[in-house]
Amino acid sequence: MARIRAYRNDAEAKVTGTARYADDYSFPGMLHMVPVYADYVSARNLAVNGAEALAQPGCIAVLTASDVPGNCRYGQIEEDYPILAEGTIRSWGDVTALVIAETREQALQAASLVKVTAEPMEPVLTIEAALDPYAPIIPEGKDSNIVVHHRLRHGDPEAVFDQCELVIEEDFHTQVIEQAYMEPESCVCVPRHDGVLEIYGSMQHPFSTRRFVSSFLDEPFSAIEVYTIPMGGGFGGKDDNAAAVCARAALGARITGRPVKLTYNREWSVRETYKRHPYRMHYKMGFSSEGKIEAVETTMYADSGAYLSVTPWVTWRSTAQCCGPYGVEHVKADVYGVATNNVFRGAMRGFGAPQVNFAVEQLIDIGAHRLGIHPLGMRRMNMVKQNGETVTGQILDKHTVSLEEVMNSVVHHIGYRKKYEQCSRGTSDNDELYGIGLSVSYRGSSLGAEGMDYCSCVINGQHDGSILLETGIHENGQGSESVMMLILAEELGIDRKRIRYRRSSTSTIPDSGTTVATRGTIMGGSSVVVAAQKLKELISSHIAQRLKCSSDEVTFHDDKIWGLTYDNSLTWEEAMKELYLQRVAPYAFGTYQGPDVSWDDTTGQGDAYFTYVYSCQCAEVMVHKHTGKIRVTNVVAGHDVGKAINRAMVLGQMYGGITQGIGMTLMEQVQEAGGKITNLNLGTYRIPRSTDIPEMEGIIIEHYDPLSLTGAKGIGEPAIELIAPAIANAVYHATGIRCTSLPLKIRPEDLS
Amino acid sequence: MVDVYHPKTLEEALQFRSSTGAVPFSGGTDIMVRYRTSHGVLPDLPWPIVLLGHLKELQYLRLRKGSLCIGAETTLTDVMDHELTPPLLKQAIGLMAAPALRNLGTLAGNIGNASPAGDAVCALIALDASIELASPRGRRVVSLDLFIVGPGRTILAEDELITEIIVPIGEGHISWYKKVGTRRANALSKLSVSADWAVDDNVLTHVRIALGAVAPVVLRCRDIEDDMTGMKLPEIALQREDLMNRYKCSITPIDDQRSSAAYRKQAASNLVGAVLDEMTGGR
Ligand SMILES: Cc1cc2nc3c(=O)[nH]c(=O)nc-3n(C[C@H](O)[C@H](O)[C@H](O)COP(=O)(O)OP(=O)(O)OC[C@H]3O[C@@H](n4cnc5c(N)ncnc54)[C@H](O)[C@@H]3O)c2cc1C
Repeated sequence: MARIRAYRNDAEAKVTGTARYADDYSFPGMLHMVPVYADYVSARNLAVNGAEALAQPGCIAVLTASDVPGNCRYGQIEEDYPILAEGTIRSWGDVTALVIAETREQALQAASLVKVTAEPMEPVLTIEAALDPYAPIIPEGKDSNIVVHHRLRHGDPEAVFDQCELVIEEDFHTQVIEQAYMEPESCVCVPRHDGVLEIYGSMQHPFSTRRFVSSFLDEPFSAIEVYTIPMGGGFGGKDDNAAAVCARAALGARITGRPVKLTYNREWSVRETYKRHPYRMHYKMGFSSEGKIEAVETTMYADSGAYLSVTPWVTWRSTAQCCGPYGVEHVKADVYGVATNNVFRGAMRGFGAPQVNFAVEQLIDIGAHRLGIHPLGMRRMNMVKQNGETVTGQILDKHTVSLEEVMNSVVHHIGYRKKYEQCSRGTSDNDELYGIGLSVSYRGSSLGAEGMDYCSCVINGQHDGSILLETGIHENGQGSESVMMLILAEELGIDRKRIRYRRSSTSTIPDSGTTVATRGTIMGGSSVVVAAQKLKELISSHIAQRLKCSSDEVTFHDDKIWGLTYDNSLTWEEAMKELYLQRVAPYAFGTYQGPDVSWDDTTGQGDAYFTYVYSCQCAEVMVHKHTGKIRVTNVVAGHDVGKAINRAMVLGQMYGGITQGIGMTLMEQVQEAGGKITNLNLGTYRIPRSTDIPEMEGIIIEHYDPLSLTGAKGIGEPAIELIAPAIANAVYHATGIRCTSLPLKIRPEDLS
Repeated sequence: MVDVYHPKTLEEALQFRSSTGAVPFSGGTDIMVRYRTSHGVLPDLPWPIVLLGHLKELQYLRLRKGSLCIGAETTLTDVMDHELTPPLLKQAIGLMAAPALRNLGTLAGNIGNASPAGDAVCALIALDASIELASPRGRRVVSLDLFIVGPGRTILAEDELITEIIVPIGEGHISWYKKVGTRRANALSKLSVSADWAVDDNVLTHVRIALGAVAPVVLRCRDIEDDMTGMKLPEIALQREDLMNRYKCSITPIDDQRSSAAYRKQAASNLVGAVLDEMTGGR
C-alpha cells in the first residue's frame, strides 16, 4: 500500500493512548450517578420509591422528574423526549430515576433497590400495528401514530406506467442498527466557583447539549459551559441522547453542589439510545424498452420508535433522494414516520439514504436483468448529468456533475466488465460462488432544506507569530480540527506548526449548528477561509507601509508576508510585533452561511441541497454453497469529494464507511423482543472486526466545488450509503438469489 | 467480596478446592464475562475461586504411549502453536475468539465450560480425547465425550480439577474442520463440524464426525459412524445423500440469538456432505 501523508493534531495522543476521554476525567469530591430503568415497554401511573436505595451506604440522592427545575422534556424538533420519565413509560429505554452515591459501586448497589411500579399497557411494536385505526396513540397530544408525512410530486407516474415496457414492483426491508461507537456515553459536570456549570462529555454537539442542559435546569446559556474533549466516535448517535446524559449529570451537580460523573456501560447505551430507522419500502418502477426509467411510485414507512428525535429530517432525506441519483420525469413518493413503543430511532451516519439506496440500486439491476441491458448502460442512461434535473426539480448547474466519471473510474479500476461475465450465477465447480455488484449514489451535502446552515471561525493571532484557531465544528474523532488547521495554513501561506487549535467551548465561539450531515469540512472550512481573508486584510492594512506597497499588494506565502519585491518581506514574527507596536490585535472573526436552498412541502419540489457528492462502490463476494455464508473479498470506492484536504483522512472515512456498511449488510441487527432489546452488548450485537474487512481501495475524485470556499464537499456519509446494494447485487450475480431484506441472508437449501 | 486462592502447586490447589469448594478459574475468559456487572466495577462472583492459570506444572505438551498429553492449563495459543498438536485441533483453536483471548483461555476452561458451542471440545471429541481428573482422593481418566453431559453440566466432582487432556495420535488420519460464525473472529459458533478418518486400500477404516452447537452437547452419531466404517469409498459416495439425511434427522438444534434451528440443520447436513466429498474425492 502506498504511503500517504496525513496530518492529525491528536495523532500522538491517540496512538500512545494518552488522549483523555470523558470517563478519564475526575475531580476532587466527585460523585457517581447511575440511571434506573423500568422493565416496562408501555405503562402509565409510574411511581418511583427511592427510600430503600437512599438508606444504602454512600447513597446521596435519588432523583426523579419532580426534582427537575426546568423542562423535563427535550427534542431537536419536538420536546417529547423525557430526560426523566414523568408518569408514563413509552419505551424500554426510558430512564425513571437517577441515583447518586460516593462511589460507582455504591450507586449501582443503591440503584438496584429503587422500586419502580407502573400499570403496564399493551405496547405497539410494529408499523402495521401502529397504523391500525384502533391502535393506541403513542405521541402525547397527537391524533395519529404517523408523526411525519413527506410528499414528492413530480410529473404524473400513474399515467405513464401503462406505456412502460416493464414495470417492477418490489418490497424492501431494512433493519434496526446500533451506531456502536467505541466509547459509550459519559459525562462529568463540575460546578465552578463563579456559579457556571462546566461540562466534559462524550457528545457530538456541544451547543445542543447546552440547549438541553439549559432547558432542563432552567438556567441561561451563559451559566453552562460545554467543553470539547476527545471523543470515541458518534456516527450520529451522540446527538440528542448524549446531550440528555449530560443534562442528567448536570442536574446531579446542581443539586449536590459537587462534581458528578455519569458513565454509561454498553448495556445502558444500547438499551436507551436511539438507533438507525428500520424502513419498509414499496417501490413501483417503470422502464421503457431501452431501459429508461419512466416513472417511479413509492411508499415507505420508517419506524420512529417512541420519540420523534430527528425522524422528520431523516425521512425528508429519503424523500429528496427517493430515486437515487436518477433523473426520473414522473415520480410520486409518500414517506411516513410512524411512532411505536420501540426504543426510539434517530440520527445515524447515512441518515435516511442507505435505506432507499438499498432499494433503488437493486431495482436498477433487476430492471437491467429483465430487459437484458447491461447494468452499467442502464445506470449511465438514467443518471443525473450536467445541467440535468433531479426528481425535486433542481437543475444541477452550479457544480460539476461527475457521477459518470466516478462510475467509470471505479468500473475501470476493478475490472467490472470482465468480472461481471465471470459471475457464478448459481453454479460453480467448487464450494463457492463468485459475484460482483455495483451501486451509485449522489448525496446532498450538509443539511439542505432540513435546517439553518451557518458556521463561525475565530483566528486569534498572537504577537509572537503563533496562531490560535477555533471553529464551531466539533471534533468527533474524525479529524476536523486538523482539517481546519490545514485549511488555515493554506490560506495564510504559513507553516502549520504556527497553528494550534484551541480547545473550544460553547462559551468561546458562537453556536454554529451541529457537526452532522457531512457538513464539517464544507461549512467549517468555508468559515476558516472567510476569517483568514479578514485577517489578511487587517494585517495588510497595518504593514503595507513597512513593505513599501499598498495594502492590496501584500501577499502571504512561504511562511512570510510579502510586498512587491523580494527585499520587501516580513516574517510572521516581525509582522505580528509590528501590529503589537501599533496596538492592533491580529484577531479575525468569520462566518459562513450556506448558499440558499428551497423546498415546497406539499410537492416535495425545490433545490434540496446546494451541492452533491457523487459516489460509486463496487464489491466482490464469495458465497459458500454449504453454509450460505457471504464473504466480501474486495471493494473499490470512488467519491467526488470536491477537494481532498487531508487525503489519508478522506481514505480513512471511505474505508470506515465501507466497513460499517458491511456490518449493516451482513451481520448487524438490533433484536427486539416485545420492545425489549435482547442483544445489548457487542458480544451479541456483532459488528465487523479487522478479520472481516475485505481488500479496499478508495479513489478520490476532485472537482472543485464553487459553492464551497475551499472547494471541498465531504465524505463521512457518502462512504456508508451505498455498499449494501453493491453487495446485494454481487450476491445476486453469485447465486441468482435476490435479497430484499437486510441483513442479507442466503439459506443453504436455496443453493443447488 | 469473594475469596480468591492463589495456590503454589497443584497439590495446594486440590486442597483449597476440596476444603472450600472453590470454583476452578483458569484464564477466566468465560467466568469473568458471565459474572460481569458494569463498566468500571469488578465482576460479582457468587463463590470463592481457586486460580489455576499460573500453575507451570500443568502447562506442557508431551508424547506418552502413543498419545499427546496436554497440561490442562496450557493456553490456547501455546497449544495451537505447538508442533505436536494435531492439525484438527490447531484449526479449531485458530478460529476461536481472537489472539488476546487465546493468550488467556485454556483447554481446561473450554471443557469445564461445557458449552455445546465449545470449539476445542468439538475437535477433541472428533479426536477421541480423554481427560485426566485429579482430586485429593486420586486420579481418574474419563472420555471427554462422557465428561460433558449437558449445556454447562459435567461429571466433575466437587473436589476435582481437570489436569490433563489426552489425545491419541491417529497415524495417517485425515481431518477436516469447518466453523460457521457471524464473523471471522470473536464469534461463537452457529455450528461447527470436526471430522477425523482413516482410509486403507479404498476402505474407510475409521471415522469420527463431531458436530458442535447443534444439540445440547457436542454430538457424534456413533451408529452412522459404525455403518460407514468398513465401507468402500465409492459406496460411501453413492450413499452420500442418504448419509446426509441420517445426520440431518439425528440432530436437534435450537433457535437462539446466533442462528436458527432450520439453518443449523441444513448447514450441518451440507457440511457432512462436504466431509463425505473430501473423503471420497467426490464432487
Ligand atoms: C470474546 C470471546 C470470544 C470467545 N470465542 C470463543 C470461540 O470462538 N470458541 C469457543 O469455544 N469459546 C470462545 N469463548 C469462550 C472462552 O474463551 C473459551 O471457552 C476458553 O477456552 C475458556 O477458557 P478459560 O481458561 O478462560 O476458562 P475459565 O473462564 O477460567 O473457566 C471456564 C469454566 O471452566 C471451569 N474450569 C476452568 N479450569 C478448570 C479446571 N482445571 N478443571 C475444571 N474446571 C475448570 C471453570 O470453573 C468455568 O466453569 C470466547 C469468549 C469470549 C469472551
